[in-house]
Amino acid sequence: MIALARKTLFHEWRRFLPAILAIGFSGVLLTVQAALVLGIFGSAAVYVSSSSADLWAGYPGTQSVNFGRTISPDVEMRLRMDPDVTDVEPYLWVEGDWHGTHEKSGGVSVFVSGINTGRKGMMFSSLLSSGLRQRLEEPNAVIVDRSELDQLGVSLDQAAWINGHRVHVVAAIAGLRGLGGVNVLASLDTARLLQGEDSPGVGPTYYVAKVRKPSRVEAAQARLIANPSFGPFEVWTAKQFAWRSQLYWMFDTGAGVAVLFMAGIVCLVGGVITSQSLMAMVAASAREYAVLNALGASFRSLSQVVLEQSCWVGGLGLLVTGITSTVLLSVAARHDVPVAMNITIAMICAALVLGLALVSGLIAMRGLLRADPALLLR
Amino acid sequence: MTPVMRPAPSLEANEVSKSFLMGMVRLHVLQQLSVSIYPGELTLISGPSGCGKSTLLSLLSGLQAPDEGQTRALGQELSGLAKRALERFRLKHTGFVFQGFNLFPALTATEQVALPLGYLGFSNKDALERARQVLKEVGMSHRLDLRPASLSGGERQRVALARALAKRPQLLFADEPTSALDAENGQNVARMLQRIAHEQGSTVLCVSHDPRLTRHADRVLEMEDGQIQRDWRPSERDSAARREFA
Ligand SMILES: Nc1ncnc2c1ncn2[C@@H]1O[C@H](COP(=O)(O)OP(=O)(O)OP(=O)(O)O)[C@@H](O)[C@H]1O
Ligand SMILES: [Mg+2]
Repeated sequence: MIALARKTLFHEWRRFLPAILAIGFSGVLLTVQAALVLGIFGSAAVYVSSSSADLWAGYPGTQSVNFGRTISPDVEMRLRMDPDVTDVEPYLWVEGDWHGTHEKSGGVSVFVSGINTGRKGMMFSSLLSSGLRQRLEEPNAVIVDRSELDQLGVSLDQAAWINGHRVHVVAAIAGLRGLGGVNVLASLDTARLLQGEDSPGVGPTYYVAKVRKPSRVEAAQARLIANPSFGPFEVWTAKQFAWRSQLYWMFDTGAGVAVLFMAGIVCLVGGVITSQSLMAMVAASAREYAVLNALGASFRSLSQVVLEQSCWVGGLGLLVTGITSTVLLSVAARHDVPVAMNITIAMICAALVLGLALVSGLIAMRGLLRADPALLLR
Repeated sequence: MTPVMRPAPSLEANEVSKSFLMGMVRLHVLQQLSVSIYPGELTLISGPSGCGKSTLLSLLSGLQAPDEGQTRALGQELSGLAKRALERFRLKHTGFVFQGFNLFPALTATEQVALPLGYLGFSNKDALERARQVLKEVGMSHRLDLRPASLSGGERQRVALARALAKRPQLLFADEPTSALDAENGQNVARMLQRIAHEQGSTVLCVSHDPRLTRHADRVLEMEDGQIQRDWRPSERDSAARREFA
């Protein structure tokens, strides 16, 4: 077959440009929005995603990392008994009230993470060098995110107070920003000290574990079902727990619904513009299509030409989306805007873009109704 | 005078009527019209504007169905066929040349002609080869790779003609194929239409109110107000006139 769709598109690209751009920019809006959501709500799971642990054991039904409750120290035994588990360490979550040294700073609510400061510690392993871990071993040493120093009313190497205890900021790093409160890293000992009198129990909030091989993670999780003799606990894979925490924040804050709503509007507007300009293209060639129909080309084969055109528009629009989004997101990331992207979400955005083009093509097929060959005879 | 033996008609209209609703008024364009058209000759329908020539053509070619009466083409009843079956019939048997050129701006002359052949199952190679051959027949071999924008009006009409001829149709319909052309190009197209009828035995039905075309027609149907008023053959008239003169 003569590639009518492709040749027309390349010959009359100016007339297809609005459709391609409409598809392309719908894609950009979808992608950037998704990246912002992933970036912002990804920080709800920073504890999980910046740690090398494969399994998380916590209080049954915990919706999000920040809702952890004390579990029994016996859970550590249970984890260590599993043949695939190679390492286990406790993780202590303490909520506190921070007072900085600067005059005007009032109380700031903080989430203190008490972590294993050993060289092989799993918690925050991707954020902390072993040098920084060592510095946390000093009594009352804490590390905060550098972008939150101002909010905390403190400078590097200065003292501050958490729940009335004096702490010392030994380092400020990037990538520690959380949701709902300011993250503060401390050693397990320091964290226990900050927990103070009203400590809800003797154990930690979570135990995190490393598994021999990534392929064994799910099997290990399946074996680690609750057992009354170790007290109540539940085990999630790191991926599950991160996703759980993000989902909770997304839908608890209503942001998830807002994002879906916006995505719907973006698709609607993009679809209307695209289908209208495709329809105009079809209508402009109605007489030529009518001749083909008179010569015996079926309505179906003409529809295929229109659909093929919309696939081209979708493909080129996707290219616009890909290039523009990559540029925008890398600029945003360089300016500390919380953005993130992963393959799954990128694929979903791409599928939406192509789907949008295809649906627009289906709508534009209505323009073929004007291609009635009887109209050529007057 | 000895009666001439004719083959069976390839197109027949049997008491066909067609009317259109224009606002509140029903306009009767054709009323109980019957006609037979024969293969191997160029039949010309002429008459004043609005008398129903194009409407008759669209009924005989199966592009529109009559309100009443039957149309037959190549012995097959068209009036009863479904849309899809009509498309298949047209694909196999009919070529069209319309008043406008209706060429795709993006395609070269060769591609314009090859495109409809694809729907008949021609491979790309065969279609392009046939296209070049037919373009040569209409005297366009020097313009094979040009797009419509760089062709003259006469050249465009010849490409449109080649597109209609490429599948060697048994039925060829042309509606005012020369109206956009100057006298010479018009004569050329008319000559080509007649040659196709004579050489390939096709049925060529042409609508035109250009009186210069009668010279190339084998038979002329003169229409007025939806009726065929005269049905005559230029060659017979010429010979009759010559006899009278002698
Ligand atoms: N689809 C239609 N709807 C309404 N009226 C129509 C339609 N098709 C044709 N007519 C009317 O039928 C009459 C005959 O039309 P037709 O096209 O057959 O004329 P024609 O003989 O080809 O004229 P011309 O030489 O100007 O092309 C005209 O008055 C026209 O207005
Ligand atoms: Mg007409």
